[in-house]
Amino acid sequence: MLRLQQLIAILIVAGTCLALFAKSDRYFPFSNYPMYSKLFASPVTYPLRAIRGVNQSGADERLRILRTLPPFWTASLREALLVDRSDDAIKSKLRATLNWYNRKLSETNSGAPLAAIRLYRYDMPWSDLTAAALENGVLDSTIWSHAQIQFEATP
Amino acid sequence: MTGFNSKDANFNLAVTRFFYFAIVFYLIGVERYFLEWQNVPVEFWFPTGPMRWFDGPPLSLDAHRWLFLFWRWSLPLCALGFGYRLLAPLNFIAAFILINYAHSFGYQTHTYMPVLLVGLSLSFAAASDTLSLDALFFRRWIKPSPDARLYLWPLRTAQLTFCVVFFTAGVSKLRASGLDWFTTDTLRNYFLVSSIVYEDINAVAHQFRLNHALYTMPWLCHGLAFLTLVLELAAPLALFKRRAAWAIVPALFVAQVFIFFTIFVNFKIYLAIYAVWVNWHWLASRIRDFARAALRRRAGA
Repeated sequence: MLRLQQLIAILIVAGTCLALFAKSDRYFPFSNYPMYSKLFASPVTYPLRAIRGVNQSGADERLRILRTLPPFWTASLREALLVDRSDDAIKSKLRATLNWYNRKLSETNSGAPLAAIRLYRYDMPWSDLTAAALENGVLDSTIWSHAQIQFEATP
Repeated sequence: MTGFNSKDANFNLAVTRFFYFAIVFYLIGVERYFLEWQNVPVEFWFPTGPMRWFDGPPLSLDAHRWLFLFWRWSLPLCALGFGYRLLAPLNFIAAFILINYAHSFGYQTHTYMPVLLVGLSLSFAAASDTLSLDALFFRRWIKPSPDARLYLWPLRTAQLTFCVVFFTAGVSKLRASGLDWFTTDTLRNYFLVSSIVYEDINAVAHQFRLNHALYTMPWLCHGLAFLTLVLELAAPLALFKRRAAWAIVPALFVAQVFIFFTIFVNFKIYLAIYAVWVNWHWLASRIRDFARAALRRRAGA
Protein backbone atom coordinates (compact mmCIF):
# COMPACT_ATOMS: atom_id res chain seq x y z
CA MET A 1 0.00 0.00 0.00
CA LEU A 2 2.95 2.30 0.65
CA ARG A 3 4.22 1.66 -2.87
CA LEU A 4 0.79 2.57 -4.26
CA GLN A 5 0.82 5.87 -2.34
CA GLN A 6 4.29 6.66 -3.67
CA LEU A 7 3.09 5.88 -7.17
CA ILE A 8 0.11 8.25 -6.75
CA ALA A 9 2.44 11.04 -5.61
CA ILE A 10 4.73 10.44 -8.59
CA LEU A 11 1.73 10.50 -10.95
CA ILE A 12 0.53 13.83 -9.56
CA VAL A 13 3.98 15.43 -9.88
CA ALA A 14 4.43 13.98 -13.36
CA GLY A 15 0.95 15.12 -14.44
CA THR A 16 1.64 18.62 -13.21
CA CYS A 17 5.02 18.82 -14.95
CA LEU A 18 3.53 17.46 -18.15
CA ALA A 19 0.68 19.98 -18.06
CA LEU A 20 3.08 22.86 -17.36
CA PHE A 21 5.59 21.93 -20.05
CA ALA A 22 2.93 21.04 -22.59
CA LYS A 23 1.29 24.40 -21.81
CA SER A 24 -2.05 22.72 -21.35
CA ASP A 25 -2.95 24.78 -18.32
CA ARG A 26 -6.35 25.45 -19.80
CA TYR A 27 -7.08 21.93 -18.62
CA PHE A 28 -4.88 21.82 -15.58
CA PRO A 29 -5.93 23.11 -13.11
CA PHE A 30 -8.98 21.40 -14.35
CA SER A 31 -10.97 23.58 -16.65
CA ASN A 32 -11.55 24.00 -20.36
CA TYR A 33 -11.81 27.76 -20.16
CA PRO A 34 -9.19 30.27 -19.04
CA MET A 35 -11.00 31.15 -15.80
CA TYR A 36 -9.46 34.40 -14.63
CA SER A 37 -6.02 34.10 -16.17
CA LYS A 38 -6.66 36.23 -19.26
CA LEU A 39 -6.18 39.97 -19.43
CA PHE A 40 -9.40 41.88 -19.01
CA ALA A 41 -8.42 45.51 -19.33
CA SER A 42 -7.93 48.18 -21.95
CA PRO A 43 -6.80 47.96 -24.76
CA VAL A 44 -7.74 44.26 -24.85
CA THR A 45 -11.41 43.81 -25.63
CA TYR A 46 -13.30 41.06 -23.94
CA PRO A 47 -16.64 40.36 -25.56
CA LEU A 48 -19.33 39.27 -23.16
CA ARG A 49 -22.29 37.18 -24.21
CA ALA A 50 -25.81 36.60 -22.96
CA ILE A 51 -28.59 34.16 -23.76
CA ARG A 52 -32.07 35.68 -23.77
CA GLY A 53 -35.51 34.46 -24.73
CA VAL A 54 -38.09 36.00 -27.06
CA ASN A 55 -41.68 35.66 -25.90
CA GLN A 56 -44.77 35.19 -28.09
CA SER A 57 -45.29 38.95 -28.44
CA GLY A 58 -41.73 39.38 -29.72
CA ALA A 59 -40.36 41.01 -26.59
CA ASP A 60 -36.96 40.08 -25.24
CA GLU A 61 -36.94 38.46 -21.80
CA ARG A 62 -34.47 37.17 -19.25
CA LEU A 63 -34.27 33.37 -18.92
CA ARG A 64 -34.58 31.66 -15.54
CA ILE A 65 -31.87 29.13 -16.30
CA LEU A 66 -30.89 28.10 -12.79
CA ARG A 67 -34.49 27.34 -11.88
CA THR A 68 -35.58 25.84 -15.20
CA LEU A 69 -32.53 24.10 -16.66
CA PRO A 70 -30.48 22.65 -13.79
CA PRO A 71 -27.65 21.64 -13.57
CA PHE A 72 -26.86 24.74 -15.66
CA TRP A 73 -26.98 28.30 -14.49
CA THR A 74 -26.55 31.36 -16.70
CA ALA A 75 -22.75 31.39 -16.87
CA SER A 76 -22.29 27.63 -17.17
CA LEU A 77 -24.87 27.35 -19.95
CA ARG A 78 -23.05 30.09 -21.83
CA GLU A 79 -19.71 28.28 -21.45
CA ALA A 80 -21.27 25.02 -22.62
CA LEU A 81 -22.86 26.74 -25.57
CA LEU A 82 -19.59 28.29 -26.71
CA VAL A 83 -17.14 25.49 -25.98
CA ASP A 84 -17.29 24.54 -29.65
CA ARG A 85 -17.18 27.84 -31.56
CA SER A 86 -18.47 26.55 -34.90
CA ASP A 87 -21.70 28.23 -36.04
CA ASP A 88 -23.47 24.92 -36.61
CA ALA A 89 -22.68 23.64 -33.13
CA ILE A 90 -23.84 26.86 -31.47
CA LYS A 91 -27.08 26.96 -33.47
CA SER A 92 -27.79 23.30 -32.76
CA LYS A 93 -27.28 23.82 -29.02
CA LEU A 94 -29.38 26.98 -29.01
CA ARG A 95 -32.27 25.12 -30.63
CA ALA A 96 -31.89 22.24 -28.16
CA THR A 97 -31.88 24.73 -25.29
CA LEU A 98 -35.06 26.37 -26.54
CA ASN A 99 -36.88 23.03 -26.84
CA TRP A 100 -35.61 21.93 -23.43
CA TYR A 101 -36.68 25.24 -21.86
CA ASN A 102 -40.15 25.13 -23.42
CA ARG A 103 -40.61 21.51 -22.36
CA LYS A 104 -39.74 22.42 -18.77
CA LEU A 105 -42.13 25.40 -18.86
CA SER A 106 -44.86 23.10 -20.07
CA GLU A 107 -44.16 20.38 -17.46
CA THR A 108 -44.27 22.85 -14.60
CA ASN A 109 -47.05 25.11 -15.98
CA SER A 110 -44.67 28.04 -15.64
CA GLY A 111 -45.87 30.11 -18.56
CA ALA A 112 -46.20 30.30 -22.32
CA PRO A 113 -43.45 28.78 -24.44
CA LEU A 114 -40.80 31.02 -25.91
CA ALA A 115 -40.95 31.89 -29.60
CA ALA A 116 -37.18 32.02 -29.98
CA ILE A 117 -33.91 32.14 -28.13
CA ARG A 118 -31.01 34.44 -28.87
CA LEU A 119 -27.32 34.64 -28.19
CA TYR A 120 -26.21 38.25 -27.77
CA ARG A 121 -22.70 39.56 -27.90
CA TYR A 122 -21.74 42.87 -26.39
CA ASP A 123 -18.42 44.60 -26.85
CA MET A 124 -18.15 46.97 -23.99
CA PRO A 125 -16.14 50.13 -24.46
CA TRP A 126 -13.93 50.46 -21.38
CA SER A 127 -14.84 54.14 -21.25
CA ASP A 128 -18.37 53.13 -20.26
CA LEU A 129 -17.15 51.30 -17.19
CA THR A 130 -17.06 54.04 -14.63
CA ALA A 131 -17.63 54.36 -10.92
CA ALA A 132 -20.53 56.67 -11.76
CA ALA A 133 -22.22 53.89 -13.71
CA LEU A 134 -22.00 51.74 -10.60
CA GLU A 135 -23.28 54.41 -8.26
CA ASN A 136 -26.26 55.15 -10.45
CA GLY A 137 -27.04 51.46 -10.77
CA VAL A 138 -27.06 51.62 -14.55
CA LEU A 139 -24.29 49.15 -15.30
CA ASP A 140 -26.65 46.46 -16.58
CA SER A 141 -28.42 48.81 -18.97
CA THR A 142 -25.11 50.36 -20.08
CA ILE A 143 -23.71 46.98 -21.05
CA TRP A 144 -27.02 45.92 -22.57
CA SER A 145 -27.07 48.99 -24.83
CA HIS A 146 -24.06 47.50 -26.67
CA ALA A 147 -25.69 44.12 -27.26
CA GLN A 148 -25.91 42.67 -30.75
CA ILE A 149 -27.71 39.51 -31.78
CA GLN A 150 -25.18 36.86 -32.79
CA PHE A 151 -27.45 33.85 -33.27
CA GLU A 152 -31.17 33.18 -33.01
CA ALA A 153 -32.95 29.81 -32.89
CA THR A 154 -36.60 29.00 -33.27
CA PRO A 155 -38.41 25.73 -32.47
CA MET B 1 3.97 16.05 9.61
CA THR B 2 7.42 14.69 10.30
CA GLY B 3 8.15 13.34 13.75
CA PHE B 4 4.84 11.51 14.10
CA ASN B 5 4.83 8.07 15.56
CA SER B 6 2.68 5.44 13.91
CA LYS B 7 -0.21 5.75 16.37
CA ASP B 8 -0.49 9.52 16.00
CA ALA B 9 -0.17 9.37 12.21
CA ASN B 10 -2.84 6.69 12.10
CA PHE B 11 -5.13 8.92 14.20
CA ASN B 12 -4.50 11.91 11.94
CA LEU B 13 -5.29 9.99 8.76
CA ALA B 14 -8.46 8.50 10.24
CA VAL B 15 -9.85 11.88 11.33
CA THR B 16 -8.98 13.36 7.93
CA ARG B 17 -10.82 10.44 6.30
CA PHE B 18 -13.90 11.22 8.37
CA PHE B 19 -13.94 14.94 7.57
CA TYR B 20 -13.11 14.52 3.89
CA PHE B 21 -15.92 12.08 3.11
CA ALA B 22 -18.40 13.70 5.51
CA ILE B 23 -17.86 17.15 3.97
CA VAL B 24 -18.16 15.85 0.41
CA PHE B 25 -21.37 14.04 1.37
CA TYR B 26 -22.83 17.03 3.17
CA LEU B 27 -21.96 19.60 0.51
CA ILE B 28 -22.54 17.75 -2.77
CA GLY B 29 -23.53 14.17 -2.00
CA VAL B 30 -26.96 15.12 -0.75
CA GLU B 31 -27.59 17.36 -3.76
CA ARG B 32 -28.66 16.20 -7.23
CA TYR B 33 -26.08 18.16 -9.19
CA PHE B 34 -24.25 15.12 -10.62
CA LEU B 35 -27.52 13.31 -11.34
CA GLU B 36 -29.09 16.16 -13.28
CA TRP B 37 -26.57 15.95 -16.12
CA GLN B 38 -28.64 13.09 -17.54
CA ASN B 39 -31.32 15.70 -18.42
CA VAL B 40 -29.02 17.79 -20.62
CA PRO B 41 -29.75 17.49 -24.38
CA VAL B 42 -27.35 15.28 -26.28
CA GLU B 43 -26.43 18.23 -28.53
CA PHE B 44 -24.28 19.49 -25.65
CA TRP B 45 -22.13 16.34 -25.56
CA PHE B 46 -18.52 17.56 -25.68
CA PRO B 47 -16.49 14.78 -24.08
CA THR B 48 -13.42 15.35 -21.95
CA GLY B 49 -10.98 12.96 -20.28
CA PRO B 50 -11.83 9.28 -20.75
CA MET B 51 -15.27 10.27 -22.09
CA ARG B 52 -13.48 11.18 -25.34
CA TRP B 53 -13.70 7.50 -26.22
CA PHE B 54 -17.47 7.86 -26.61
CA ASP B 55 -19.38 9.67 -29.35
CA GLY B 56 -22.35 10.23 -27.07
CA PRO B 57 -23.29 9.87 -23.40
CA PRO B 58 -22.15 6.30 -22.63
CA LEU B 59 -24.34 5.71 -19.60
CA SER B 60 -28.01 4.83 -19.78
CA LEU B 61 -30.32 6.77 -17.47
CA ASP B 62 -30.54 3.80 -15.11
CA ALA B 63 -26.81 3.12 -15.09
CA HIS B 64 -26.13 6.78 -14.39
CA ARG B 65 -28.68 6.85 -11.57
CA TRP B 66 -27.32 3.69 -9.93
CA LEU B 67 -23.77 4.94 -10.17
CA PHE B 68 -24.81 8.23 -8.59
CA LEU B 69 -26.68 6.45 -5.78
CA PHE B 70 -23.73 4.19 -5.08
CA TRP B 71 -21.37 7.17 -4.94
CA ARG B 72 -23.75 9.16 -2.74
CA TRP B 73 -24.39 6.47 -0.13
CA SER B 74 -20.87 5.09 -0.02
CA LEU B 75 -19.66 8.54 1.10
CA PRO B 76 -21.06 8.32 4.66
CA LEU B 77 -19.92 4.69 4.89
CA CYS B 78 -16.40 5.76 3.93
CA ALA B 79 -16.57 8.60 6.47
CA LEU B 80 -17.42 6.06 9.17
CA GLY B 81 -14.79 3.66 7.87
CA PHE B 82 -17.07 0.78 7.05
CA GLY B 83 -15.73 -1.67 4.46
CA TYR B 84 -13.32 1.13 3.67
CA ARG B 85 -10.65 -0.76 1.77
CA LEU B 86 -13.26 -1.98 -0.69
CA LEU B 87 -15.74 0.91 -0.72
CA ALA B 88 -13.31 3.84 -0.83
CA PRO B 89 -11.56 2.82 -4.08
CA LEU B 90 -14.95 2.06 -5.65
CA ASN B 91 -16.25 5.42 -4.43
CA PHE B 92 -13.28 7.10 -6.09
CA ILE B 93 -13.92 5.30 -9.38
CA ALA B 94 -17.63 6.22 -9.27
CA ALA B 95 -16.76 9.88 -8.54
CA PHE B 96 -14.21 9.88 -11.37
CA ILE B 97 -16.83 8.66 -13.85
CA LEU B 98 -19.57 10.99 -12.56
CA ILE B 99 -17.37 14.08 -12.63
CA ASN B 100 -15.96 13.36 -16.09
CA TYR B 101 -19.47 12.63 -17.33
CA ALA B 102 -20.69 15.97 -15.92
CA HIS B 103 -17.71 17.74 -17.48
CA SER B 104 -18.57 16.31 -20.88
CA PHE B 105 -21.46 18.63 -21.65
CA GLY B 106 -19.31 21.67 -22.40
CA TYR B 107 -18.98 23.14 -18.96
CA GLN B 108 -16.06 22.04 -16.88
CA THR B 109 -16.14 23.55 -13.43
CA HIS B 110 -12.76 23.87 -11.76
CA THR B 111 -13.99 23.05 -8.27
CA TYR B 112 -14.49 19.28 -8.23
CA MET B 113 -11.36 17.82 -9.84
CA PRO B 114 -8.98 19.00 -7.09
CA VAL B 115 -11.28 17.44 -4.50
CA LEU B 116 -11.36 14.22 -6.50
CA LEU B 117 -7.58 14.13 -6.86
CA VAL B 118 -7.07 14.66 -3.13
CA GLY B 119 -9.51 11.80 -2.65
CA LEU B 120 -7.29 9.55 -4.77
CA SER B 121 -4.60 9.21 -2.13
CA LEU B 122 -7.13 8.99 0.72
CA SER B 123 -9.24 6.34 -1.00
CA PHE B 124 -6.32 3.99 -1.51
CA ALA B 125 -4.93 4.49 1.99
CA ALA B 126 -5.13 2.47 5.19
CA ALA B 127 -7.37 5.18 6.58
CA SER B 128 -9.68 2.94 8.57
CA ASP B 129 -7.10 1.30 10.84
CA THR B 130 -8.45 3.27 13.78
CA LEU B 131 -11.54 5.34 14.65
CA SER B 132 -13.66 3.35 12.24
CA LEU B 133 -16.34 0.70 12.12
CA ASP B 134 -13.81 -1.58 10.43
CA ALA B 135 -11.46 -1.25 13.41
CA LEU B 136 -14.39 -1.94 15.73
CA PHE B 137 -15.91 -4.96 14.00
CA PHE B 138 -13.06 -6.48 12.02
CA ARG B 139 -10.29 -6.24 14.58
CA ARG B 140 -9.05 -9.68 13.62
CA TRP B 141 -8.17 -8.61 10.07
CA ILE B 142 -7.41 -4.93 10.47
CA LYS B 143 -4.30 -4.34 12.51
CA PRO B 144 -2.59 -0.93 12.73
CA SER B 145 0.84 -0.92 11.13
CA PRO B 146 3.92 0.10 13.13
CA ASP B 147 5.21 1.84 9.99
CA ALA B 148 4.15 5.51 10.29
CA ARG B 149 4.90 6.10 6.61
CA LEU B 150 1.82 4.10 5.69
CA TYR B 151 -0.30 6.82 7.31
CA LEU B 152 1.88 9.82 6.51
CA TRP B 153 2.20 9.34 2.75
CA PRO B 154 -1.51 9.67 1.90
CA LEU B 155 -1.73 12.99 3.72
CA ARG B 156 1.46 14.32 2.20
CA THR B 157 0.24 13.32 -1.26
CA ALA B 158 -3.08 15.04 -0.60
CA GLN B 159 -1.21 18.17 0.50
CA LEU B 160 0.94 17.96 -2.62
CA THR B 161 -2.19 17.90 -4.78
CA PHE B 162 -3.59 20.89 -2.92
CA CYS B 163 -0.41 22.91 -3.53
CA VAL B 164 -0.22 21.91 -7.19
CA VAL B 165 -3.74 23.16 -7.84
CA PHE B 166 -2.97 26.66 -6.59
CA PHE B 167 0.52 26.79 -8.04
CA THR B 168 -0.67 25.92 -11.54
CA ALA B 169 -3.43 28.51 -11.24
CA GLY B 170 -0.68 31.10 -10.63
CA VAL B 171 1.42 29.82 -13.52
CA SER B 172 -1.66 29.94 -15.74
CA LYS B 173 -2.13 33.65 -14.99
CA LEU B 174 1.52 34.44 -15.62
CA ARG B 175 1.52 32.51 -18.88
CA ALA B 176 -1.69 34.03 -20.23
CA SER B 177 -1.13 37.62 -19.11
CA GLY B 178 2.35 38.03 -17.63
CA LEU B 179 2.85 40.73 -15.05
CA ASP B 180 0.02 42.69 -16.68
CA TRP B 181 -2.34 40.49 -14.70
CA PHE B 182 -1.75 42.68 -11.66
CA THR B 183 -0.41 45.91 -13.17
CA THR B 184 -3.56 46.47 -15.26
CA ASP B 185 -7.19 46.75 -14.18
CA THR B 186 -7.84 43.08 -14.97
CA LEU B 187 -8.94 41.98 -11.50
CA ARG B 188 -10.81 45.24 -11.01
CA ASN B 189 -12.82 44.63 -14.18
CA TYR B 190 -13.50 41.03 -13.21
CA PHE B 191 -14.94 42.37 -9.95
CA LEU B 192 -17.19 44.67 -11.93
CA VAL B 193 -18.68 42.26 -14.43
CA SER B 194 -19.06 39.41 -11.97
CA SER B 195 -22.37 40.94 -10.89
CA ILE B 196 -23.67 40.33 -14.39
CA VAL B 197 -21.83 37.14 -15.33
CA TYR B 198 -22.92 35.37 -12.13
CA GLU B 199 -26.22 37.16 -11.69
CA ASP B 200 -28.28 34.09 -10.76
CA ILE B 201 -26.03 32.28 -8.30
CA ASN B 202 -24.85 32.92 -4.74
CA ALA B 203 -27.45 35.59 -4.00
CA VAL B 204 -26.19 36.04 -0.44
CA ALA B 205 -22.80 37.24 -1.63
CA HIS B 206 -24.34 39.67 -4.14
CA GLN B 207 -26.13 41.53 -1.33
CA PHE B 208 -22.88 42.93 0.08
CA ARG B 209 -21.84 44.56 -3.24
CA LEU B 210 -18.23 44.20 -2.11
CA ASN B 211 -17.10 43.91 -5.73
CA HIS B 212 -18.55 47.31 -6.56
CA ALA B 213 -16.94 48.89 -3.51
CA LEU B 214 -13.56 47.45 -4.52
CA TYR B 215 -13.98 48.68 -8.10
CA THR B 216 -13.87 52.26 -6.82
CA MET B 217 -10.40 51.62 -5.31
CA PRO B 218 -8.08 50.73 -8.22
CA TRP B 219 -4.90 50.70 -6.10
CA LEU B 220 -6.43 48.15 -3.77
CA CYS B 221 -7.48 45.95 -6.72
CA HIS B 222 -3.89 46.00 -8.05
CA GLY B 223 -2.60 45.10 -4.60
CA LEU B 224 -5.05 42.23 -4.25
CA ALA B 225 -4.13 40.93 -7.71
CA PHE B 226 -0.43 40.97 -6.79
CA LEU B 227 -1.13 39.26 -3.48
CA THR B 228 -3.22 36.57 -5.18
CA LEU B 229 -0.47 35.77 -7.64
CA VAL B 230 2.22 35.64 -4.96
CA LEU B 231 0.06 33.44 -2.76
CA GLU B 232 -0.70 30.97 -5.55
CA LEU B 233 2.93 30.73 -6.68
CA ALA B 234 4.10 30.35 -3.07
CA ALA B 235 1.68 27.50 -2.32
CA PRO B 236 4.32 24.71 -2.71
CA LEU B 237 6.32 26.25 0.15
CA ALA B 238 3.61 24.98 2.47
CA LEU B 239 4.84 21.47 1.74
CA PHE B 240 8.35 22.08 2.96
CA LYS B 241 8.10 24.61 5.78
CA ARG B 242 5.68 24.22 8.64
CA ARG B 243 5.66 27.99 9.33
CA ALA B 244 4.93 28.66 5.66
CA ALA B 245 2.01 26.24 5.84
CA TRP B 246 0.65 28.10 8.86
CA ALA B 247 0.64 31.31 6.80
CA ILE B 248 -0.18 30.12 3.28
CA VAL B 249 -3.00 27.64 3.87
CA PRO B 250 -5.17 29.97 6.01
CA ALA B 251 -4.39 32.81 3.56
CA LEU B 252 -5.64 30.70 0.65
CA PHE B 253 -8.76 29.90 2.63
CA VAL B 254 -9.39 33.61 3.26
CA ALA B 255 -8.73 34.32 -0.42
CA GLN B 256 -11.38 31.80 -1.45
CA VAL B 257 -13.92 33.27 0.95
CA PHE B 258 -13.04 36.68 -0.50
CA ILE B 259 -13.57 35.34 -4.04
CA PHE B 260 -17.01 34.15 -3.02
CA PHE B 261 -17.99 37.66 -1.93
CA THR B 262 -16.43 39.48 -4.88
CA ILE B 263 -16.49 37.22 -7.95
CA PHE B 264 -19.26 34.95 -6.67
CA VAL B 265 -17.48 31.66 -7.33
CA ASN B 266 -18.29 29.21 -4.55
CA PHE B 267 -15.39 27.07 -3.33
CA LYS B 268 -17.14 25.59 -0.31
CA ILE B 269 -16.33 22.05 -1.42
CA TYR B 270 -12.65 22.88 -0.89
CA LEU B 271 -13.36 22.59 2.83
CA ALA B 272 -12.95 18.87 2.26
CA ILE B 273 -9.37 19.31 1.11
CA TYR B 274 -8.42 21.89 3.74
CA ALA B 275 -9.01 19.02 6.20
CA VAL B 276 -5.74 17.41 5.06
CA TRP B 277 -3.77 20.32 6.55
CA VAL B 278 -5.15 20.13 10.05
CA ASN B 279 -2.98 18.38 12.62
CA TRP B 280 -5.88 16.55 14.24
CA HIS B 281 -3.70 14.78 16.76
CA TRP B 282 -2.32 18.08 18.04
CA LEU B 283 -5.81 19.58 18.12
CA ALA B 284 -7.24 16.60 20.02
CA SER B 285 -4.37 16.81 22.53
CA ARG B 286 -5.02 20.51 23.13
CA ILE B 287 -8.74 19.91 23.61
CA ARG B 288 -8.05 17.02 25.98
CA ASP B 289 -5.59 19.12 28.03
CA PHE B 290 -8.06 21.98 28.15
CA ALA B 291 -10.88 19.69 29.29
CA ARG B 292 -8.70 18.11 31.99
CA ALA B 293 -7.63 21.52 33.30
CA ALA B 294 -11.25 22.65 33.39
CA LEU B 295 -12.26 19.51 35.32
CA ARG B 296 -9.41 20.01 37.79
CA ARG B 297 -10.45 23.62 38.35
CA ARG B 298 -14.02 22.53 38.93
CA ALA B 299 -12.94 19.79 41.33
CA GLY B 300 -10.76 22.26 43.28
CA ALA B 301 -13.46 24.92 43.50
